Amino acid sequence: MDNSRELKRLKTYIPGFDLISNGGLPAGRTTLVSGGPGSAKTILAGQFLADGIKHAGQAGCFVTFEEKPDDIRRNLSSFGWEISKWEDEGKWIFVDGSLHPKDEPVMIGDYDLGGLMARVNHAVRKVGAQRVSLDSIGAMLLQFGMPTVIRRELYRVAWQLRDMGVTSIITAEHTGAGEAPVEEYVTDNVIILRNTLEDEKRRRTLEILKFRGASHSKGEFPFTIAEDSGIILLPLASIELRQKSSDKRITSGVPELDTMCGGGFYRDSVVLISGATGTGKTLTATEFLAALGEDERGLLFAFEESRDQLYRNALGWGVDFPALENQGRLRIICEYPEVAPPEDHLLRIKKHIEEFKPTRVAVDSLSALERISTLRTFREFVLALTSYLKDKQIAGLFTSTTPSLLGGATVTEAHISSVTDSIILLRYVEAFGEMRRGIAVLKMRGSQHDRSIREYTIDSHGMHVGEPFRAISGILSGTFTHSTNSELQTLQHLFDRTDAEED
Amino acid sequence: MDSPQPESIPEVLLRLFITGNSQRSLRAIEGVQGMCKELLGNGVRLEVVDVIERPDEAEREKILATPTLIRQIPAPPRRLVGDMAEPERVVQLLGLKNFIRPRKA
Repeated sequence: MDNSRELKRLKTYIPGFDLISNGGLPAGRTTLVSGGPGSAKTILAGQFLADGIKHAGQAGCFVTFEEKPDDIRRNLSSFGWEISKWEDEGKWIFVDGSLHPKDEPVMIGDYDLGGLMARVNHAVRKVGAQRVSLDSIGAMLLQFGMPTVIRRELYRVAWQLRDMGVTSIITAEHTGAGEAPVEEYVTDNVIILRNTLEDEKRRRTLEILKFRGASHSKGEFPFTIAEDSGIILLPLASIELRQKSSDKRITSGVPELDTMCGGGFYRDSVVLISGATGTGKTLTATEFLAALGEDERGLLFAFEESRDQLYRNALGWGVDFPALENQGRLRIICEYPEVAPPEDHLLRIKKHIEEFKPTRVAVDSLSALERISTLRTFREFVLALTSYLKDKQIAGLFTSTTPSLLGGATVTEAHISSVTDSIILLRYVEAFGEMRRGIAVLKMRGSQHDRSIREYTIDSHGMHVGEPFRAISGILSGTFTHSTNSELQTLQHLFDRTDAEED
Repeated sequence: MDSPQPESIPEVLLRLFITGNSQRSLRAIEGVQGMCKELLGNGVRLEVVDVIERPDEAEREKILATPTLIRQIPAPPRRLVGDMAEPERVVQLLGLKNFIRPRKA
């Protein structure tokens, strides 16, 4: 779509940002980044320059009012940004606007920021900078007092930066309490960073409040700070559904289940296995991974059981996980869900996928991750992971634990069922004083599937699916009723008649 | 625009940083030059630095705001920021009371 009125963009190369901003920051303009304490403003200001150097060879100028350049060099080096080296190479330049307390000036009358602008201009020319970060306005306000003057000057600073032809970020403190900071009216482009506590869980988000004359995604986008690369946005709501869906089928590992699904799972589909504890969800995941074809690789993320436990379980079903691992066809990652927020888990999962390049990925279970998330974060997590797998054309299998032994749906399912392609239910069935197990394919996107609920058994060779339960209804809800033979015949008769009438 | 100066180290060295010929700059130059001439003696040297022409100097002195007046000598330096509208106060804030020249009769 060609829209000449749309502003030109500068790709930031901050992971995820260019997607949610529809192409990057407005080029040649100033964007205000407003956020409370600890909201990663300085990291964003630094990363804007670092990613520009790393990915586009664009030089940057960092204007600091709060911390000394030495502190910034040191603090940001933990992200692998070699600022000192870049300075030597003429790619990064500091303008030190921080003041030693003893240099603090006495104010006498009106002033402007001419000194600052002359220095920034000088620095920008010296290294040919295309990106400028100023961090932060609040620290400057502290130095000079006189907020009204600073705001007037800020406006002029924005104009002068524009005249220099650079794309810039100015950070500002946002207390979040009461009035909106006046700085937000000064620039055409405003981004808000938040670091909030929600249901006792930390949540970092970035919101593009406005880009004047330019489109962008609305709403808050969660982000995480990766130890080795800085801010990574998880652009969930704006994920493009550009994935081609595949017709190719793969086996679930259980031949009868493949038949129920109309010929196996789709190669790029995500299947949700839902069941109470002990119904065989881990088994389904195990069968799925053990059924690797030639040239296939499987990746298992286990959040509930230890490695030894998994090995033992698998062996009990006739699957040798260690052997598969030794052949380099399987990788198992065991982690406690509590060690990290969902955003970080997502990043780790992606990292493993990128390293190992699996064709099948199983997560056992999603419910474990649900425990550590808010509903919203959890839904975003599943959506992001699903989209990622589909984009990579990887077959996914997620398990989900129902809270009650009989029937019932989980919150997990309610929130993610629309995201997954297929849902398979594993249920306990009470039949004539015995607990048996039933499997049903609830949904199979883009394909016919078996609509009956079949009995299955588990032995040392794994899962075996048998005949449909004929005389029992109410399995899904958990309130069973047993039908007598005569009732069944009546039903049968009823349908036969309908068919006859249609003919 | 530097004032004529004796070769020796002056008793007082003032450096005034301004930006181009904005109203604020001109007002500050006029004010500080007037102050030196009217109130202070010959031992005072004033240097006017335009940050647009000398950004390196602005960088070295870490100037953010203009006009900025620095009393370089005697040490330790003192800084004033503003348009220096009140010469008596500027003299006082710079701690130069001792350098005030006795008024002619």
